[in-house]
Amino acid sequence: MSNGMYNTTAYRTVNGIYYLDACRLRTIRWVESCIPTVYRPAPMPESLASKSDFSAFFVVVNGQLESGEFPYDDLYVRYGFSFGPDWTVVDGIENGLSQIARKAAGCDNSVVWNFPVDISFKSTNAHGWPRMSVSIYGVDSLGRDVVRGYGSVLLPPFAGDYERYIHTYIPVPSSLWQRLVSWLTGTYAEFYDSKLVAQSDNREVTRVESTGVVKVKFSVLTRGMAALGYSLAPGASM
Amino acid sequence: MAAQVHCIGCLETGADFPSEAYGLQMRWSLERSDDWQLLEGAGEGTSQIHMSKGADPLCTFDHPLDVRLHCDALAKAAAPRIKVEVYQLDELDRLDIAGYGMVHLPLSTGTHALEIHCWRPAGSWYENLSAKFIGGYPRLVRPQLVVSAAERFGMATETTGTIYCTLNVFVVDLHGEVEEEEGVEESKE
Repeated sequence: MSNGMYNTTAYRTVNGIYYLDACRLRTIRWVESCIPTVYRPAPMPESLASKSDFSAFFVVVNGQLESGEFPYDDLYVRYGFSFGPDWTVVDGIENGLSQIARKAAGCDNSVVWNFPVDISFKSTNAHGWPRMSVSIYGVDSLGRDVVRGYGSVLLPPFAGDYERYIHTYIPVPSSLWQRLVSWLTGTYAEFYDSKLVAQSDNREVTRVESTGVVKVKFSVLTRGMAALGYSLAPGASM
Repeated sequence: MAAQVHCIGCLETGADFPSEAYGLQMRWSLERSDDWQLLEGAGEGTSQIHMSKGADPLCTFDHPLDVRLHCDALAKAAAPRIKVEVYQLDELDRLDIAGYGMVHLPLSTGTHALEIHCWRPAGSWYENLSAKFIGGYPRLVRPQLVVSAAERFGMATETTGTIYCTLNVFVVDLHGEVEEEEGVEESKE
């Protein structure tokens, strides 16, 4: 398999069992070869392959913005990453924008984005571990883009498969009058920088209220951390 | 044994705080003895104010925490603590104490989902009555008491709510780690 990582993430079931027979594998390869290069998932960085590179560690994250539960409809999501000065993006897309998803008439009350996130980082220092900030926008009945939620999540620092639920919130208009005006004009209070939610400073001046929940899935690989002294066995204490 | 401890995580949500609160805010700080040196990251912070809306008892702080600590003798140093103070906002925009709490920084590598159960001093019936109308619940003169192991004989408190946080910890052993030594110098500059 030329791109084993992609296949295992895409076709792994909840129980971690692989369902890949030769026929499907051929189909996948054929489909892959048809996908334009720009849409292909981040390949394993070359330097990851060599174990002799002790100067940095790598974190490879494959995941997806799976779905969201909101009291609104016609929602799309934008994501970005914030990380410390010692970190660089090796490969992958740093900012993404999903499709506009709508709820169906069935019993599932969530909007499904099923939007892939593939990114890999390189660093020498665990401080500043990347966080993903998401902003959810919706299209209201007049076709205006309206912010529906902000939230952030830390990329899991240990290898494995994760499901994360991001509780989102929006800034509250500072007065009742502003609330009325923003409702009429469709211009709600927004954060100037959507990555504010991933930082610790200057948060105390904002007032927010809850809006919904976003479900995110991550599959994390780390490489070379042990060589830099980071013990990788969870629970290993000293 | 010299070691560095990375603690990366998030103070995510709070639940079951007094329902009379219009909004909740949380201040946290890392309380540590002189054995611990804060190399990188903020040692304290103040979260956003979460305005409660309807009956949802959960409030989202979504407040990141990312610190790097150095300790010369991990075996004999008392673990740093995370102290939280939760404030409630009333309808007149006054901030009042809604809870104190602390949790030890877990000193083992791994992901730790922690709950901080909070309390505040319980006032007399007269203090509670006046707090209900004009605000001002009894608060600690010296909030350091929250993380202190000294006796608390005679202090009356009441339960308020719980803060939920997830901390990811890396304990880095510094047995002649040249790489890490360089890192220390860099961060001091």
